[in-house]
Amino acid sequence: MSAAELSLEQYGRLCRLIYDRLGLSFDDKKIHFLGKRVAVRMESLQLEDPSDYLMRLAYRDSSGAEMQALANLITTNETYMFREYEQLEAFGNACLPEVVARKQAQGSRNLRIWSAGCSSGEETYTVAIIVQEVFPAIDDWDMQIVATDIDEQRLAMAVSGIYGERSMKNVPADYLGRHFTPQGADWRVKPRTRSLVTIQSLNLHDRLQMRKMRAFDFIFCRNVLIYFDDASRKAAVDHFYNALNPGGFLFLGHSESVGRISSAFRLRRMGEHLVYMKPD
Amino acid sequence: MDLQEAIRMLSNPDECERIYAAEDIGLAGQGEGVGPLFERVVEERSQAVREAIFRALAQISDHAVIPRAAELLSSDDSGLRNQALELLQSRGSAVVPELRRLLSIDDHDLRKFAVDVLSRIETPEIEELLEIALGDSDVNVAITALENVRHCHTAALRQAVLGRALCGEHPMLVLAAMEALGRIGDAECYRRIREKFPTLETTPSLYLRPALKLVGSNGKNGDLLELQSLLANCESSLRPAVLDALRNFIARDGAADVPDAWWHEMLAALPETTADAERYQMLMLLGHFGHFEPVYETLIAYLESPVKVDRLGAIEALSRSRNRFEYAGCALRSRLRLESEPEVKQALEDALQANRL
Repeated sequence: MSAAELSLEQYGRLCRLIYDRLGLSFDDKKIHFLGKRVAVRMESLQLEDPSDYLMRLAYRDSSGAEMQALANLITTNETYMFREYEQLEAFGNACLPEVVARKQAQGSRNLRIWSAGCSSGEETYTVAIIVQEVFPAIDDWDMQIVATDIDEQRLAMAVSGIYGERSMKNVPADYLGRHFTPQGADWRVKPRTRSLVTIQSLNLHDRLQMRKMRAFDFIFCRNVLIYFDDASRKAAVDHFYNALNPGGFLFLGHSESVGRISSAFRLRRMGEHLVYMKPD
Repeated sequence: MDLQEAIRMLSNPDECERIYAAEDIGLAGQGEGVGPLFERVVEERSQAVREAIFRALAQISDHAVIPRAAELLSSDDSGLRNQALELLQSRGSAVVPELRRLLSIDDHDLRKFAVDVLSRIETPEIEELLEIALGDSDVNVAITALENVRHCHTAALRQAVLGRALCGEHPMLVLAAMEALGRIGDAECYRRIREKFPTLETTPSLYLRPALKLVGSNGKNGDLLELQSLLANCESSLRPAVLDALRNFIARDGAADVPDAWWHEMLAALPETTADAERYQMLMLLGHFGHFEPVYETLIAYLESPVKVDRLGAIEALSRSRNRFEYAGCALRSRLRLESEPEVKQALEDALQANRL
């Protein structure tokens, strides 16, 4: 299928729409990529003129269903260890020390992290590794990382803790030996790191299940909500707000903005990065 | 939790319990919950609870939600106003009687909010309501209405919009009307606007972009040389609008009457164009002239460009140059053997398959 012949003005409008609604940023180089995806959606909707498609996307999509269909075409479901490294640096170098210091001042030695929509566990184990690397005294704490997903097959992969080359490509070399054991061509997460993680099935759309998730200091839900419609996205972020302790942090994907979904969180600069915190 | 209990919990000191209470009232979906939710939201300081309350109100279909939400449009709290506006938009055509009332009152801010709500709802009465707003004495109300005319793609209001473009006193009002005509204008609108602005060169720069849209959608063959001259001499920021005008012209009438000077100009401009999307657009446009040898050779040369988007533009252009495609097929096949970028390989395979080569 050929790319849709978007005018330059239409391409600019499409990029702004996608950014406003999904937080995904596309530059000039992506004109062919988006044109192809728009052509797929136009064929599916039996539209011939890109301006009709843009009209529909902008003004006749109150449920967000069409934006969702487009999102499914323009996003990748890829996951790997240490993905979006800069955000993880903000977590490890700024947010985690702040929360740990506050807890110590309160006489608490309890730290809870939720990896929501954990898929096959790459992000979850990445977080577990970072916590151990930047805060070795965590062994003396009551530490729990809860990893949840709706997909049982993916959860089984997370439980096994075995990862191939694609998942491991960004793991720093000195972490490999400390946190993984070679297993044929793959790598297995070491028991110490594995023991920090509790894996369970959870549907982010299930409000009763979600209400049970409480008292977390950090929530990671990166590159998951872009697959939700507007109402579900807002409901999930509402639940995350309730699930966080005051002063806790929410991390969405680097291109996703909490501010576009909810204004309840406080935007803070931590070093070079902007992060979202539940107000104290 | 029963409804009365949830209503009682709306004033619980625990923020989280208030959020759950709002959620439960919304899920109950009963009119009885409307009053307590609105009473709570004006007192509520937690933004998270406010958002939960508005989400709950959106789930309750009781008609009482509409007048209560309209009352919030007068609030001094901009957050409340915006959330009320979204809530009203979510009610669809049921909100029309309330909008009609709002459009008739003295407060111009409320009249503008009514037009904002109108922008996101589908109703057979939209043209009648927009016509009322188009004639509003307040410039901001009229401009908002013009923006909605453009978005709604409605042609019934052409004469009213044209009147604003020709006789509007405020420059921004004229601009909004011209922009609207760029979408809904017809041959008559084009003629009248060209009478007001006889040449693109002398059209005030503020109005040049919408004028170019009107030329693209309704222009005559005689405009093409003027457009080409503009491309050669305009500031770089205006070039995308000129290229779009040509693209729209070709989409409407084909490329047969486009003067050769156009492809000469694009071939000259191509190497100096730094914006990727603009170069891609030029390559796509050149595809319509692929039967001219210099154009064909340029497109073949761009298949080897180190810039991915240029290769993609050349592939798409050659794919559309059907009368030359059997020759281009060899070049595309040999490029396919060398190509390492998955997106470009896919485009090459698609082009070869679409042309059955």
